[in-house]
Amino acid sequence: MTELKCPERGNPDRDEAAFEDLYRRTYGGLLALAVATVRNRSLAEDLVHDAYAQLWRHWASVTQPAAWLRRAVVSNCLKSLRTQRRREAIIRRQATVPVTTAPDDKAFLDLLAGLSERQRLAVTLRYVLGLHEAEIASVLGCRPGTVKSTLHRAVRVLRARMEDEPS
Amino acid sequence: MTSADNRAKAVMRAYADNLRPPPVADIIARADDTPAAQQLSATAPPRFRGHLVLATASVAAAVAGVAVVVAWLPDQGTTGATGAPQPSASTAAVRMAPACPPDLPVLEGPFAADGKAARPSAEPGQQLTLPAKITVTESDRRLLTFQVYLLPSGADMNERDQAVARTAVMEVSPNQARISPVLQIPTGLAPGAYDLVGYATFPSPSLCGVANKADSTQVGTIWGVLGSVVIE
Repeated sequence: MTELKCPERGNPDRDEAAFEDLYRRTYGGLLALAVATVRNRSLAEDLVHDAYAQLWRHWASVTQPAAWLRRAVVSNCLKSLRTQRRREAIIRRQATVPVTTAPDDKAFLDLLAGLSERQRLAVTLRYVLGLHEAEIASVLGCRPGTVKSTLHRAVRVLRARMEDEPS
Repeated sequence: MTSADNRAKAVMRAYADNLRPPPVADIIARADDTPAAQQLSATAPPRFRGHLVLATASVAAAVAGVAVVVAWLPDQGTTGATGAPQPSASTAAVRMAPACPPDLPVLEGPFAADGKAARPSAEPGQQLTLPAKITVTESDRRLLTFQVYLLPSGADMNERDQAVARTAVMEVSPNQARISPVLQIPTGLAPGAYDLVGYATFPSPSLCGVANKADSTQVGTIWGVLGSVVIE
C-alpha cells in the first residue's frame, strides 16, 4: 500500500483536500477492518470515524497518515472489544433484543466466523488493505513471524470454507 | 495462492469497495466539536437531549413575603422554553444571548455531550469527577448553586425523584471559572445508558435586557442534559 504523500502543511485548503483524498481512498478498507474486528457495523463506523477525527486534529504533525490511521483504528477496536467483553458478561444475564445484520455485513462476517480476533485482523490487513507481513506486524505490535503463523492458520480456515462453497 | 484463497480475497475486497463514507465535513465537524458532530452517525446513542430553561421564583421568596413571579423565556430554537421537556437526539446546548439567564456549566472530559468519546462508560461503585466549565455571565446573574443527577436515559429530566444518584449541591463563587462535582455511582446499579443532568440556580428573573434587583432573593432554576454514561 503506497503512503499518501502529504503536501506541505499549513495551507488549510490543501490540508483539507489532502485529508479528504486520503479519507475517500482508505475509508472502505479501514471500515472493513473494523467490522471484521468488532463484528458490529454501527460500532465499527463509530470507531473509524473517531480515528479519522483524531487524525484531522493531529494532521499538522502526522507524517505518515495512512499508517497512523491503521494503528488508530486497530487500537480503537481492541479497546472497544475489551469493554464489550465485560458488557456481554453482564448482558448475558438479561433478556437481549436480537440484533439484525445487513446481508452484506453478514456475508463478510460469516466468511470470518470461527477466526480469532487476531486472525481476523491479520487476514483483513492482508487481503483487504494489501499489507505485507512486516507492515501487519507494525500495526499489530507483534513480530513478523507471529503474523506469518497467524495468517497461515487464518488462510487455512478461509480456504476450507471457500472450497466447500460452489465457485 | 489457491483459487479458494483468491475467492476469499475477492469477497473481502468487494465488501470493502462497497463501503461508502459519509461526507468528510462530518468527520471534520466531529474533530472540531461543532454542533454537526452531535448529529454524526444516526446509530450512535443520543447523548444530548436538549436544554430546558424555566425561570421561576423560589419558595424562599414566598417565605420572605415576596410575591412569586414566574418568568417564561422565549423559545430559543430547538429547545423547549415552557412545559414539558422536549428530548431530541441531537443539537448542542443553546447559548443564551448576553444579559439573559445564564447557561448551565459545560461538562468537559469523556462524559460530555460533545461527540468525542466513543463509549463513555463506568462501573457500579465507581466515583466520577465531572469537570465543567462555567460560562461567563453578567455579575447580577451568575450561577448560585450547581448539582448533577444521574437519570436513566429516557426518563423525564424534570422528575429528579427518579435520579439514581446525585452529587452534593455545590455553591458557585463569584468569578468561578470551573467546577468539579463528584458523582458516586451506586453499587449494584443496573447496567445501561444514563444521562448526566445538570441542575443550577441563579438570581431570578434574569430577563434579557433587564437588570436584577440588587436585594432580590428570588431564585431561578435551569436544568438540562450535560452528557451521558454507560454503566457496565
